[in-house]
Amino acid sequence: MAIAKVPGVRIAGIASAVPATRVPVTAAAEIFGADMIQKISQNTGIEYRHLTSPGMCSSDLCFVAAKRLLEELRWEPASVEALIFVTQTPDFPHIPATACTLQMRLGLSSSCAAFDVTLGCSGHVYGLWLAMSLIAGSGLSRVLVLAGDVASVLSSPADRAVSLLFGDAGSATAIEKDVTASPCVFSMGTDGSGWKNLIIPSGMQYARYPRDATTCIRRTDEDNNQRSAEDLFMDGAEVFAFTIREVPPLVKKVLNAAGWALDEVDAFVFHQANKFMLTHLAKTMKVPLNKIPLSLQEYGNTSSASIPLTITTQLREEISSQSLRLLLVGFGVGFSWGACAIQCGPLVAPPVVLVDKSEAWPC
Amino acid sequence: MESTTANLCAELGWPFLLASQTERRPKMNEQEFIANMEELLETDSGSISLATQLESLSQWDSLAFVSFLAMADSKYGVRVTPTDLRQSKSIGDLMKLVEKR
Repeated sequence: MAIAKVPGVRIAGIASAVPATRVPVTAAAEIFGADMIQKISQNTGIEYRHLTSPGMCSSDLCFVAAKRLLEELRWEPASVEALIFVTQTPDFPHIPATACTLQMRLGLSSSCAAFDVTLGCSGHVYGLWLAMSLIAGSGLSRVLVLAGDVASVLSSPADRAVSLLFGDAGSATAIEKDVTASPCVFSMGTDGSGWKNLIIPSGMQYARYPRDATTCIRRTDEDNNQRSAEDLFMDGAEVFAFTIREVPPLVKKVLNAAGWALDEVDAFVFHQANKFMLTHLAKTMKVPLNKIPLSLQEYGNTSSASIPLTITTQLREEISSQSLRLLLVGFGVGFSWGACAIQCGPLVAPPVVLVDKSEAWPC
Repeated sequence: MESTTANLCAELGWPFLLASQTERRPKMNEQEFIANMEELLETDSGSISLATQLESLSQWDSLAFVSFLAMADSKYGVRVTPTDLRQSKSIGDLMKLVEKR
């Protein structure tokens, strides 16, 4: 995509929420053995994850984050004119859109537009771009982007490529009109030929590979991982290859358009894919590691919530008190990617909220 | 691209000269590549050679596979595709992948 510059819009606040249940990756020692876990953990950089339990959805985590953010911002719920819910793990298999239930739960006005966006790792940047474009182009004043996933539940516990990778988290980003804000620079992209490299092939009756009696049976693959057609599959090598091909030029393109030198960026907030990948990107792009905040050690790869979660857990003090030049970069499932150069802060950023199962929507 | 001399040699059917021309092309530092592979595989120095078959190495797992893609990119500036890598059978095949461009 060509560069999009969106003027007159700012991020007013960011909040995130995770399940209270915190599990060390070593808990899976019975399945993979302690040595294998250590090897995986060294590679991914992930030591703990916050995991959901049955009945607690992405929307519950986003709801808690949004409620907290609206309170801290003192935004009247009725002042929110659009709600964008970004997730790969909605409340219901097909219908209705989770964004509609969130409009009700948050007490937003019935004149609020609400819709879902089905993207994962790139989703938060897409959500920001949509929200900011709605404000700049349609004259709205306030938009909420809720991005979250409970991706941990999607994988087979006996598939070491993914089972220790994903953590669960939700986020809320409040965006509003501000004529004094410097333009945000966006660039998005897609390579749909990568569709089969991060996928849950089956699981629904009316879909590409209809669910049948065999699709839930876990079989052992050539790498000795067990997985069914209804479990998440990831070809890590293909995802890695795509990332190192697309992300460095994307970063360069957005920085050029923003007129920022590499060393003028205060922080590169990357989707928290895994530490090995981010370290490699840092090395090849010549970005100092201390400019790449990591939340994955404590939370794992949190899919669409990873960028806001990283901001609220790793940059909270700085961004609450000063203005930062941030480069946000999401990339992954689709394949889909997006980057945003944004000057933001000081903004409202409450500490990450721990969510108990009892706070799930009792619909 | 072959040099004019090499083309001429081939046309004239002088395999001896052709071979010497080929040898004169810049070659990848084999020792350095082996050392890089030993580091990647966390194996002892001198334990592998270009002839070593990948399937004989217990360390050649999915993590090593991705590490090789990373090494090709950062040390050799070559973006190896997973498809090409999957077809490699030996350490020598791996060297050919990073020698390619």
